[in-house]
Amino acid sequence: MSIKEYYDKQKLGVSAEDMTARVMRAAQEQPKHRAVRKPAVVAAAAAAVLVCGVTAAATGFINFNELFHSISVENEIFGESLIGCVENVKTTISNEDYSVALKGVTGSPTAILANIEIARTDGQPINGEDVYVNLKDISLANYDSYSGSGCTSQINEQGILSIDWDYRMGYDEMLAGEVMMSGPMLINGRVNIQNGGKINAIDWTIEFDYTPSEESLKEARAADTNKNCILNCEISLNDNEYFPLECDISEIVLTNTFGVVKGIILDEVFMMPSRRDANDIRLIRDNGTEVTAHIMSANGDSNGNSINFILRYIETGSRSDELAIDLSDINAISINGIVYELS
Amino acid sequence: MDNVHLNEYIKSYGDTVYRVAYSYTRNRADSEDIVQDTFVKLMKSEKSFESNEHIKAWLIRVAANLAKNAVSSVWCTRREELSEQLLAEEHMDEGLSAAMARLDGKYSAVIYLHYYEGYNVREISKLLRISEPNVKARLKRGREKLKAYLEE
Repeated sequence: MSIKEYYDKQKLGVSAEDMTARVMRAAQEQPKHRAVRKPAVVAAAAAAVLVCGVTAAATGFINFNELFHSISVENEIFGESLIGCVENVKTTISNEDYSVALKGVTGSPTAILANIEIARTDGQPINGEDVYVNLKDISLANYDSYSGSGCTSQINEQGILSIDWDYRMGYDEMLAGEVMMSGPMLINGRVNIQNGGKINAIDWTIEFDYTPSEESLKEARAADTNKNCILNCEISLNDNEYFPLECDISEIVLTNTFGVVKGIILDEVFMMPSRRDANDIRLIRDNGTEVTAHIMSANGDSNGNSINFILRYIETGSRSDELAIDLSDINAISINGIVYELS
Repeated sequence: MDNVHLNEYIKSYGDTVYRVAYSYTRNRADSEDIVQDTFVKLMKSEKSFESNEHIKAWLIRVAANLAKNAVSSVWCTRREELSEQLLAEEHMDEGLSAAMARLDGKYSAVIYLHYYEGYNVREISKLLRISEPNVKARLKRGREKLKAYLEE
């Protein structure tokens, strides 16, 4: 059987008519995210903003740091990029017995993780209640092409329900390697809480405008390149020929040539320069072992006549500038001691 | 969007969306849910499409994104891979079907889009939000892995 035949046999298990009916039903059952906002919860929104430590009357742009209690990030540089311009925070919640607040933001250039807290307005803990469903749907007003859901939750020591809510940015928001973020950002969902036989379905929405500064975009790009340091472990000598290296790299040496080489930096390998402006770089595997690459010069791009390495200082967590290595005077590449002559 | 148009889109692209989802989830029920959610998003989208190809590409991107999220989400993933795999193997050629079932989603998705849907590397790069060299690498490794599985 060919691959085509294999896929020919993979078909939707229900008829188009049945799926149409399912979709129509689901569309009617899922309220549009903007529909869950109700005027009655303005007070809750204001309270939530006050919890965040800024005045509700703040106008214009305010600093991200001042808005949220904490910004915790897996990627330090991207975290800094989140320190941008935030305004118009609005929170809504459908049940006045509860309040919702955005407590922090973490993430990566392609996924933002927001920490949401839902608490009882009477100060009682949620501990005694059974949170039996913690999400229903998430969709983003301006990112509907790529919206998705994923969350984890826990009830903390104070009896407050803490949800880490994740959404991912799509290709259209990442143009030419840039991370483009602009408001409004909308995070919403549904939490079902059962209390003494009574089931409370709580729809909540947190919305804020985020307009990144030039500086934050620059840092976001830097963070993105850092992420991309972990790619595929291959060196391509031309478009059709690859030398899969996996984790067997012990050494890469680029020497004088007029070859067409494209470099792809590597799964399980970080690259870092020994100095910011150095030609020598080391490759470091996940297990900490090091290899060395010697770079002849630094300019050009990845159009086939040059090679781009994005470097990172692992010790400090800071990044180097993008270092493009001109291969126009390189005629051989040595990988693990084997010299590949380039045409 | 009315029933008639929605039905037409599902007839035209339902299987494509399902295959993209299945590449990641390996689960018929999850894949059908993703098909449903993808078309719900199409219904709710106010996006204007330039052509049928544009709609198709949009649906593929949405489905791939939903599928990746579904696979990675501990809350959303249902675990029926084994039975699904057995079901698939009962109805399909054992060799290729079993090999495809073992292939990681990131490889099978690019293989499907390239060899079945006919998208080139640049187009797949845009659809799946990965670099062109990465698409090439996944195609190459996917082929290698398939070959190795088939030779076992």
